[in-house]
Amino acid sequence: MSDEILKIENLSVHFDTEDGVAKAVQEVNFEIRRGETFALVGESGCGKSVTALAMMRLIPVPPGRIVNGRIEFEGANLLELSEKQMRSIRGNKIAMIFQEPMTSLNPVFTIGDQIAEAIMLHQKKEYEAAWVDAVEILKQVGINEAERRVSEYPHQMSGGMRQRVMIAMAMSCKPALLIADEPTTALDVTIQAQILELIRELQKQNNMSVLLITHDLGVVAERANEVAVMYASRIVERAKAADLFANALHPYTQGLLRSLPRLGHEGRRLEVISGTVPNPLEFPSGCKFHPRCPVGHDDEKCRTCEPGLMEIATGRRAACWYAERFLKGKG
Amino acid sequence: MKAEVKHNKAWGISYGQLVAREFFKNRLNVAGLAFIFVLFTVAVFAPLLANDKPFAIKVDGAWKFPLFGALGAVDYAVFLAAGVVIAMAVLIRRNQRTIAPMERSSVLWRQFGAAFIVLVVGTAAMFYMLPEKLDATDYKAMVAEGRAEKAVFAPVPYSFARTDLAAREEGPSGAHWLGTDDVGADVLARLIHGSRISLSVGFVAVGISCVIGIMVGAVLGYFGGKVDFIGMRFVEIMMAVPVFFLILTIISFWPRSLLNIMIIIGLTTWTGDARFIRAEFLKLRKQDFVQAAVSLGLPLRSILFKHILPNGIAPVLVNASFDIAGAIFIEASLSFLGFGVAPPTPSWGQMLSLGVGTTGRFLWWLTLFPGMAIFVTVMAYNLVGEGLRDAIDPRLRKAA
Ligand SMILES: Nc1ncnc2c1ncn2[C@@H]1O[C@H](COP(=O)(O)OP(=O)(O)O)[C@@H](O)[C@H]1O
Ligand SMILES: [Mg+2]
Repeated sequence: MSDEILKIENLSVHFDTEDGVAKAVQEVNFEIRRGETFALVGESGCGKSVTALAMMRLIPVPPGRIVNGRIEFEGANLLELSEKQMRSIRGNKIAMIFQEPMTSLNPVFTIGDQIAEAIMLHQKKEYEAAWVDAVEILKQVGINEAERRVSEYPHQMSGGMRQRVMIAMAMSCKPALLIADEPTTALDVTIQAQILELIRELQKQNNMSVLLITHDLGVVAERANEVAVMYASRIVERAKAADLFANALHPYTQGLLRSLPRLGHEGRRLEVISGTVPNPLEFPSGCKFHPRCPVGHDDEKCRTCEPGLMEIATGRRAACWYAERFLKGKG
Repeated sequence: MKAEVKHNKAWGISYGQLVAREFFKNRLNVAGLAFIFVLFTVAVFAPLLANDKPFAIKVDGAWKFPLFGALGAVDYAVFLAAGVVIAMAVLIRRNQRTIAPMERSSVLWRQFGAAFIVLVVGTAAMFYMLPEKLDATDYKAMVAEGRAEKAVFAPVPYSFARTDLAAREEGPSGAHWLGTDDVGADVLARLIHGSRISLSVGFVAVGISCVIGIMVGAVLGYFGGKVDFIGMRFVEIMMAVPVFFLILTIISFWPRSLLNIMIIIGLTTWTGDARFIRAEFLKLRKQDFVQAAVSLGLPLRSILFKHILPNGIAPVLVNASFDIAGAIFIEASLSFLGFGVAPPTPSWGQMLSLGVGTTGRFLWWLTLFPGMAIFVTVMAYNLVGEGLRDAIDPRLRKAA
């Protein structure tokens, strides 16, 4: 119990748009344990970022609205805190890194100034001391010649370097939870691995929890302890990472897995899931995945009835009427 | 590739330096800026350039320095301010070379603090030590009558206020290079002193309007929604009112002083700045780096004025140059119509109105010279504004 650092219950987020209410996140539940990595996976537009932003209370209001739910962090419901209390959590206890390192740093300040500002705020340090810390953190995130680069501007750095700087900023106050929203999507493949490795090292050193958001199940494989697969605003499958990769129970997860290149299967053609993620304003009836589902596309039940997240076996949950069929080694 | 080269050259310099480099490429921009610089120099040193008291005069074998005695506390305060500004400029340049980046900002704050204290204490001391005193001695008569052995006068040996009824409405001559006005005051002396009025109106009025515009625009743009909707309707109402007539109306109820004119211009011309800042904030608040700053737990004050404002200030700087030109023009127009500062305070617009002489004769020098002064000054600010706008082009901004 106490090793859960964050617990989300029944979170729903809606956006009021001109064309109607977009239900971007619906009834999402999960918990993240101390020191572990929790992966939130799904194609673009599934509601992953909105979930993360809700955890930081960064949903723009209006048009956004957290209609429902609890986000429990260190015994308090984040959704009930005052803005001031929330500010002392952001960057201090929960930090976030974003997808676009190229635009996530302020172009008019040196990176040292940007890191130092957070340190001065949360650790009540003087500018000089904060600057010394900033150099130290830059070294920790693997930036060469940190003493010189600390007084450079973002435009003088490459994308990979900037993402390291973003990580340095996020790590500057040693948060208990790091939310990494597609931290490597915008980067080259070789740099992707380095950045993920860096996050893992920092996690180990600081016994930090990580919420790793990605559209790439491949990234998750050796890094996550637990995985939640999200599709069209809902979590459709939850499991330990090892279980999920051994035996995916939801056709969507299976599709995601089939679209991954795998060692030993180089000759195999990669399959992609046909169709696209539906827009929240035009969700299909029944199971939202049925139009793209090999099993459910012409099934009456799938077309009319939406399945909830059901316990299929111990520690295995999936939102599919036919999940049991896929369970290997039954009985 | 050309863009590539440009980007590499920009390696290691700040955005401000990039804009400056682009600005100075155009000769017209440089000319505009140079003229403004000259105008500033003239305004600061006006009493040394045009004064009826001599710098030095030798009477009965003893040297006296009446000009420096006759200068008021304001004049000395202006000299002090100019000195402090120059000293700060030199210091800031030196900091770049001699002080480590991590210490730069705290050193800078200390320097600013010191400069501010020097300025305040110095000004107070001057007002305390230098009570207004009247030196009615006619030094020129002394020289003419041979009572003084030697005298060194300012380049324009006339006061802007000294009337000379014997020399009314005279055209340009060797004695009065740009002629005299209806009470016989030297036009050049009045033009030189009038530059102080124009510049201070421009800067104080635009300073006021920028502060109001930035505050209003920042709040509307950042919060958006209902706040923005209601606020923008108010701004639009303000914009629909013809500013000049509003100012005319207000000024006819208020005591006519230079400060009141500045305040009224400032209070009525902030809508442009507010709209620019609002548009920038609307755009910038959705930027990733703003969201990143919020996610670090920074307070609203820092988000608005430290992270967003410097990225969105460019259009306001451009607009400020145009607004300074506008404010100078409004002041000149008010004074031309007789709603401005009262004589003998020298205002270019008021001088312009004397072009139709007391006897109905057209006095071309009273139209041409103040007219030129207004025209060239307004044009210089507009040139600088346009130059800045071009230098801040978004194409370059990407490279930064
Ligand atoms: N500010 C917003 N206004 C309206 N709709 C939004 C907004 N932000 C997100 N959404 C909706 O929420 C859905 C999920 O978005 P997001 O969480 O960003 O997806 P992803 O899983 O790719 O991170 C999108 O389909 C989008 O329509
Ligand atoms: Mg996203």
